[in-house]
Amino acid sequence: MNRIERVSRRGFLGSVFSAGALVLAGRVLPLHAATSGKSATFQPNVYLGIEPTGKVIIVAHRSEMGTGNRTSLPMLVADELDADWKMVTVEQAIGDPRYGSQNTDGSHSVREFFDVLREAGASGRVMLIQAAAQRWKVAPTECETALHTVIHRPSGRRLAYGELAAAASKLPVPKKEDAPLKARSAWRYVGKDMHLYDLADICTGKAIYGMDAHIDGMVHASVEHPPVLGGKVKSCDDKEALKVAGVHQT
Amino acid sequence: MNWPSSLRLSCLSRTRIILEGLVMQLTVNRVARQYDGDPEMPLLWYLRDLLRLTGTKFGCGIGLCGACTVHVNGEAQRSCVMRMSDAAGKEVVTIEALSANGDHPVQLAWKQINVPQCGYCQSGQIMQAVALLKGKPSPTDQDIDEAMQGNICRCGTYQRIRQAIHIAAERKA
Repeated sequence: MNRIERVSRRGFLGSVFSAGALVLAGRVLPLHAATSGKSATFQPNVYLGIEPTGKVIIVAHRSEMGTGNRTSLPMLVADELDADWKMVTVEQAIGDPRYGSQNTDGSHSVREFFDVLREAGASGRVMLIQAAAQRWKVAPTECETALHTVIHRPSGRRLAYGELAAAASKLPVPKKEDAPLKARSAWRYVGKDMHLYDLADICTGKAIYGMDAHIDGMVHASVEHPPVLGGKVKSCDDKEALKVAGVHQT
Repeated sequence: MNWPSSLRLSCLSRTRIILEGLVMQLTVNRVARQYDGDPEMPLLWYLRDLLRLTGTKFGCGIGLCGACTVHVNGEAQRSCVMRMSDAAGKEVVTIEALSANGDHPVQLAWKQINVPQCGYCQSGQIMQAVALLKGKPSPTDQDIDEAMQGNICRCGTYQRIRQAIHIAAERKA
């Protein structure tokens, strides 16, 4: 069963990808079918989109807490895709069961998604080669990729990924055996000393954390705990609380 | 000044009452600002909630973690325990205005060796490091320990923080 599928952008994060983008989702079997409660349903986990501008959007679906998975998981996709890391934009996923497990604990994000993320990147790369080969009317075996570009070896012709995105988005997704993964010796990013994707923003106070998120009209709730374990509310006097500036209600 | 505590308290109360009726002036990131709210409110909330400068972080609210560190009249201060009445008349600089393009020597050093992990403490770390280097341009490891010990990092980036401070010190030299 093919684990990578092409998806209509309308179904997922429509605002993230434009109409001309190639959008791929990776599907994995839930690690424990019982816990997912849907043993017959495959859950999409990761999204790769390539825009006609050449921008590559990779969705990070696990929680970044300082382990660097917002960088390392997208790196897996970008490396097999043979994308230019400078052209990659990482979008953080919303909470959505279609991503499968977004539980981020136990230090297994990379192990759990190592294969499917590489496959998603490799599928994209093969589809881009196929799109270029079709346009040039040559055999795909005569083509190779080199950082965001497909090259036809015999003639030296080149096409950038962005130029091929729309055409590639119409192609069928290759079978796993037709989208070979890179040899480890060919990795550009994986295993190398990569910097955090958010490094510059963190160092300038621009990175947005949960507490920094703002929507106009948003209000904040604070839970008041009883002072004893198992205590139950007997009465509530919120007169003084309501006098505090900014308090709307209890 | 060695005032009796009763006199000190009544002067403070009167100042507070006077301030409540006043509009407080202060400069934040080189922009003149006015504030006429509760003078007891910590500077941190003025910066984050009213000015939407969210680079300065809330970690503990009691001056023990350093995530809220800003510069007030050139000195590192924990904005979570600094009242607006104490910030009035002063110049506040936050992480957002440390440099125009993230190119302060400390920021460059931080980026050069990939200091942060989750990054939540790093605004405070950077602001504290800048203040340290202002007073001690070539700090020893002990100087760094003493100056930075109030900025805690759950991810444990301390070794890189120390290394980056040395790099920034050498860069400036």
